[in-house]
Formats: sequence, C-alpha cells, structure tokens
Amino acid sequence: MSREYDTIIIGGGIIGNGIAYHLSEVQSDGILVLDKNYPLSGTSGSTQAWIWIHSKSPSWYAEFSLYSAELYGYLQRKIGDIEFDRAGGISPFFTETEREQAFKLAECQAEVGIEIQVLNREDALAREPALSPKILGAMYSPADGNVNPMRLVEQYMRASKKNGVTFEYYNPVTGIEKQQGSFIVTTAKTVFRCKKLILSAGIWTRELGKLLGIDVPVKPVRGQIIITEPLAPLMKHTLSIMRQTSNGEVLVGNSQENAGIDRRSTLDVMIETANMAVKYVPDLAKAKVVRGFSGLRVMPEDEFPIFGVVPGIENLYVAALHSGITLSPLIGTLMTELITGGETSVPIDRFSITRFA
Amino acid sequence: MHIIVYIKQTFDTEAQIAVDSNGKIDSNGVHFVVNPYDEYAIEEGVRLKEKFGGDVTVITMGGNRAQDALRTALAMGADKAVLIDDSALEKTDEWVTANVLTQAVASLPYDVIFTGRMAIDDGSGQVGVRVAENLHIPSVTNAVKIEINEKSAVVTQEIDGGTASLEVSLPAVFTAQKGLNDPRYPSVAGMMKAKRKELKKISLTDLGLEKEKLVAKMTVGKYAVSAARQAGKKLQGSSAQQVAELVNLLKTEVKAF
Repeated sequence: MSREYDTIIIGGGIIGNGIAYHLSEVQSDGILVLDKNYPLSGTSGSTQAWIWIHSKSPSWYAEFSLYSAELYGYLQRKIGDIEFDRAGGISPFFTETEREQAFKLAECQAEVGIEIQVLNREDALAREPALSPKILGAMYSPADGNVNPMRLVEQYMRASKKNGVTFEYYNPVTGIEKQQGSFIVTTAKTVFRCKKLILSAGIWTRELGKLLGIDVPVKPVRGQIIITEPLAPLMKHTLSIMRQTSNGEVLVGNSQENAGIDRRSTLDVMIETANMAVKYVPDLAKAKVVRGFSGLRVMPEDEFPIFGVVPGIENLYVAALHSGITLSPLIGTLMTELITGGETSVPIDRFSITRFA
Repeated sequence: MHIIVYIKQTFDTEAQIAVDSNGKIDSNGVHFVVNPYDEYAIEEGVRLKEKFGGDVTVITMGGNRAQDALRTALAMGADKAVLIDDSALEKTDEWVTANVLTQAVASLPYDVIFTGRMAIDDGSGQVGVRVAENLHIPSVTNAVKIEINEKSAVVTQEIDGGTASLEVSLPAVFTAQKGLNDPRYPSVAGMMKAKRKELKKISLTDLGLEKEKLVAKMTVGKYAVSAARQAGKKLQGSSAQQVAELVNLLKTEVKAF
C-alpha cells in the first residue's frame, strides 16, 4: 500500500525546507519532505552561511540575491530566531587593479540598487579594525550579512510542521515513476504517491533526475573551512573569506576543488586557508584552530540557479543551486508561486533547466 | 480616498542602546526599522485604499537613510513617499516636527491621516495629536479598530482598563495601537514595485517654511542608560529553611508586611 501526498519534496536541506515552509503557508495539507539522511547532514550544515550580495555578478544576479536578503528580516519574524545578522560585507583588496575593478563593480551594482562603498585603507580599517594594515582598501556593502544555518533549517522545519508538513528522515529514494498523472516514489522504507514532485536534493539532484530520465547538470565543488576556538569579538562584518559567529568562533575558507563526493579536509588546503586568514586578519595568527570541515557546494554547470518546472513531465519541479543560504527565502517564495499556479513575482525563465538542452 | 501615513525610522527593537562620549545616543552599527506602531498605521492605510480606492502617501522626516523606511512602506503597498530632509532639522522637538509634518500635507488632499501611537525611540506620542490640532481636525489616539464610512469614522480606542468607542467626522488623525491589524510583510513583487514608485525629497524651503521660525522649544539635557539591575538573592537550605528566610526577607528588606 502506498501513502499519498499532494506534494513531495525530495531533499530536506536549505532549499527543500525553504520550499516546504513557504508552500505550507498557502497549502496546509499533503506536503511531505523526504531526506536520505537527516537535514543539515550535508551541504546545508557545512557552510559559513553568508548572505552574500555585493560581489555577485552580473548585476541581475546580484539584484536577484538582494531580494532574497531583504526577505530574511521578515522570515525571521515569521519563523523565529535564526541569528540573522545584517552585518554588512567587506571585500578587502591588495592591488590597484583590484581597486579599479571595485569602482567598476560599485558603478554596475548601483544601477540595480546595491550600495557598495569603495573604501581606502584608513576608512576600511576604521570600519573593520581587525583587518590587516597591508590592505590597499576594501569594498563595503550594507547589503550582506549572515545567518545560523542550523537554526535556519530547524526553524523552517518547526514552522513547517506547525503548518502540517510531514517529514521522513533516513529514507533514501530508490525509484521514481510517473503513472496516470501520479508520481510513484519508492524509498528504502515505503512507497509514496503524489501529484506534484519537487527535486531539491542538492548535489544528489542529478541522481534523482536520472530516475526520470532528465539531466540536472550540477556537480559537487568542495570547500574546506577551518574553525578557530571562540574568540572575543574581533570582526563585525562578513569578510569575503571569513566570518565570526555570535559564539565567537571564526570560520575561514574560500577554497574550491573538484573532488567529487569526498568531504575530507586536506592539509595543503588547510595551510593555504590559514595563511590567507592571517593575511586578511593578522590577529588570527594567535588563534587556536579547533577543527576543520568540508562542504560540497551544489554547482550548476553555468553556476546560476536551476529552478522551475521540468518541461515534458507534468507537475515535476526542480530546484538545484549554489548560494542556497542567500537565496533560500526567495527560491521558496517563487517556487511556491509557481507550484500553486500563480505567476511568479520575478521572471524566472532564465533559471529554467531548458537552457542546458 | 486620500490617505496620509506619517512614519518614523527607529532603532531596531533588538538594538543595544549606548550613549557616546558626547552624551548622545550612539547609532554606530545599529540597524534601523520602521517604528513598529507605524507599521500598523501603514497597514491600516493600505487596507483602506484596497477597500475604497484612492492612494496612500507616506511621509517621514529624517536623513538619507530614512529612505529605507519609506521604501518598506512602498513595498507594503503605499503609493507615494515624501522625505523631508533638511540640515536645519537636526535638533527638533515634537512641536517642530508637528509643524513641519502639518505643512507637508497643507498642499495635499487628505481624508484620513494615520500614524503610530508613539515612536519606540522617544516614546512621546505627541506628533499625531499636535498635527490634528494644527489642522483643526479631530484625532483619536490608541486606535484598535477603525471603521471608516463616507464622512465619518467609528473608532475603538484603548483606554485605561478598557476601550472607548467614538464617532468622529473626517478628515481626522488616528494613531495606531498594537492590535489594530496584523501588518503584512512586503512581498517580492511589492519590493520590486517599490523601486519604481515616486519618492520625493523635499527641504524646508520647498515647504515654504523658514528655519528661523522653527526653533525647538525643548532641548535634551542629557541621555543616560538606565542602571543595570542588581542580581537577585538565591536562598539556600531545605525548603522549610528557605521559606523561613523568604518570610524574614519579605518582612525586613522588602517590608511587604
């Protein structure tokens, strides 16, 4: 016997949960979120969790991200404390070439309403005294911030459950079939049947797509992060390679490796990361590192989000993207508008999976 | 129906208030929000427009950053925004503010004026009623329910220990209390539209006001952060001993009986 739902969301990370929560605001019944493990055990739980806007390019993508950042304040009021901090973002630079690029970027982003101040050394150090005096200057933008990813996913889940969403953990999907207008989703434990199906399983979305004969071109890109012991308040902003959590730990890293599905930390990248940390914030040379971790970014082939309907298979939707933390509330909102049959508030054609055909 | 909403940008309710070395409130690193009571006012204005048609104009006084508060109001559904920004307005009091805000609507048509019952930063709650007085129109403070008819309104007002129901003629000023409505969150579509809506910046000269005639009648002597609360006392021992000690302390220290 199969269990029936209206909508099944496969993948309970930041994207799947964002969709589940926003959908549950308008459709209270019949939503199931399936996770092969437990939410936060994968990409969503291994991130610095920046809400990062100002250096995204091209400008239309930065503007898209900005709308999501603006939604965060309201999201926190709705689902509870997620340690959302509109800290502002700082990208230090060390060369004249970078400074010129910064001015160009500031001009472009201003056109879409994103404020970037290109600061000289003195002003940058006045704003963020922890920075190295060896910087030439920095870009500062009030648009950026960060959030606690653990709290975010937990609060999404709590609010969703209150709205009637069901969750199934440790239950990997082994087969998907379309039969007479319904999807039959076979899992390790049960068989489910649903009208609408959403594939939002991060790096695993490609595998799920194969079960239905579609290609979702995403690959894992490893990022390694090191964490210091909790330190006294050292930096106020989200820096372009690190941030300090409200508990005091500093998370550093911006490495990108094509390492397949491999979440080990490696000594060479850890050394590189530590050196870079000290280059940006010299005081970190004295900090004790307590551990490192790796996360697998969900990287679409052209790096831009893939989300929307899947043409050719009615009622099948996909959402697989990088920058899930930044974009979660917006993707959740737009997918909900799409699934419930309305028009999306922002045109989403450019994000369609059809662009890879 | 032409609706005016006065709003103010205030510190985030979670901001830590600190006084700097000059005895001024330190706004460094503080996030700003729309004064929470003004959110009820905006919502009521937008609902009224949705019911009767017309337009909502939000007006605020403040520096450049106050534009964010106006954009939020526009994203919630207001149609036009006016920012009164003038260096002469750095030191104001409720009298100055009310006179400037009165002048701001002098050339505008209005049927209803909303504002929050007070701003959470200075908590004066004076501006709405002062404007009503200036305009010679009725005002009802602390409104928790407003029913607008064509030429009049029936308003439920929160008063000490209960509510009062009043009928007033329009135009009138209403100040919004918590409970008046449940303010909406701006939608993504609302945010996008807000970018293209009219946001007018004007100075005192544009309003035909002379700064010499707008000298504050009140000056702030000093700001101080309230003293930290003293730690409580923890009673030790068995329940019986703790109760005996508690009774003793209530008698001798609290002098409760």
